[in-house]
Amino acid sequence: MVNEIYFKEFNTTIKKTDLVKLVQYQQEDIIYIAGSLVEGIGNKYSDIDIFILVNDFEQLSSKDITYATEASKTQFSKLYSNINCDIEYWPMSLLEDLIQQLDNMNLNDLGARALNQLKARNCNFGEIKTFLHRFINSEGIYNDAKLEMLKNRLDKNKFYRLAMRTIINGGDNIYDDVVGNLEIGNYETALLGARDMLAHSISAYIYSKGMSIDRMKWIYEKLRILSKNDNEALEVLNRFVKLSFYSPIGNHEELAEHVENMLSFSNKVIKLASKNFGGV
Amino acid sequence: MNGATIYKQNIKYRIRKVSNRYVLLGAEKCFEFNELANFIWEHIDGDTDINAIVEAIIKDYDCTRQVAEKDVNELIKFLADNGILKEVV
Repeated sequence: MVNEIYFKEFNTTIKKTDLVKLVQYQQEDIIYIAGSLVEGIGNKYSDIDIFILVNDFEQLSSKDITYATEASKTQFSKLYSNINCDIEYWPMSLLEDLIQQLDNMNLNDLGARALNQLKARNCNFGEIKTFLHRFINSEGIYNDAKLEMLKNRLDKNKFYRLAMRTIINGGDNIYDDVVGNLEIGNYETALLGARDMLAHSISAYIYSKGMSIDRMKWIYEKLRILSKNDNEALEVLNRFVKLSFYSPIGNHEELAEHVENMLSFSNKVIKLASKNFGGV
Repeated sequence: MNGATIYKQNIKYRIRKVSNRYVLLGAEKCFEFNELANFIWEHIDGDTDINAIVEAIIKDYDCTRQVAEKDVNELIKFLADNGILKEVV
C-alpha cells in the first residue's frame, strides 16, 4: 500500500496520514481524494478535494463544518499551511443507492427522461454526476480496499452512457437556439451558442470513450489525454482546436459559415459518441 | 432533380441515433429514419451527387439500380419538399 502521494504541482510529497488528520471519521468510513490534481490536470493553485463516505451521516458533528445541505457537509482546511483542502462528507447510503439504481436501470427504455433515471434525495442530476465522477477518479486515503470494492461494484459503463445522453440532450437544446440566432442575424450570439454546443458534443464524446468529465472547462485537457493513444480522438481534437480557437469576427457571412461548420462538426462528434455505445 | 444534382443538409436538422433508432430532429419536427434513409442522409454532404449516392447503395446493399434510384429519389424529394435539404447551385 502506498502511504504517500507526490504532487508535482506543489513539488510536495503528502503523507496520507496527514490528510486523514484533517477530517473527522469513524473506523468503517472511507476517505479518498479526487479532483483536478488527482486527475493530473490541476495546477499549483488547485485545491485537494477530500471526500469522506460516512456510514452514520446523521451523527456527524457540525464542528468545523462551514456549510451543510441535506445531502452533504463541507469544511475547508489547509495542509502544511499552504495547500487548500476542500473536505466533503457524503452518506455512504447515497453511493450504495446510486450503485443499486444503475444496476436496475434499463437504458433502452426510451420513455424515461434521462435526467430522471438516476435520482437522489436533495441532489440534482448535475450534483450526482459530479459526485460519481469524483468517486470514479479517486485515490484512496483510508480504507482503500473498501473503496476499490465499491468502485468495482459501480456500473461505470451505464453511468457513462447516461451522462452522455443527458449531455447530448442539453446540447440539442442549445442547437435550436443557435439556428434561431443565425436566422435573425445574431451571428455573435450564434457563435457563443455554437461553442457551447461543441463543448457539449466533445464532453459526450469523452464519456463515450470511457472517461468521465466533470466540467466543460476540462474538455481540451481530457481530449488531449485521450488522443495520446487514439487516432480518432486525435482527429477530433485537431478539428475541435481549429474550430474553437480561431473564429472569423466582423465578417458576418464568414461568421455564419463558421457557426454552421461548428454545428456540423458537433453532429459528427455526437455520431461518433453514439457509435461507441450503440446509440445515445 | 437529375442524377448530377447535389444537395446539402439544412443545418437546422440533425440525426440522433437513440438506442437503435435513427431520429431526424430540427425546426420542431421529428422523423424516424430506417437504416437506408440514414445511409442516404449521411451521403448528402454538399459534394456527393445523386448518381454517386445510388452507386454507394448498389455497392453496400446489393440491390438493382432501379430500386436504389427509386429509394434515393423518393427520400430526397420528401426531404427537399420539407426544406430539410438544400440544392447546391
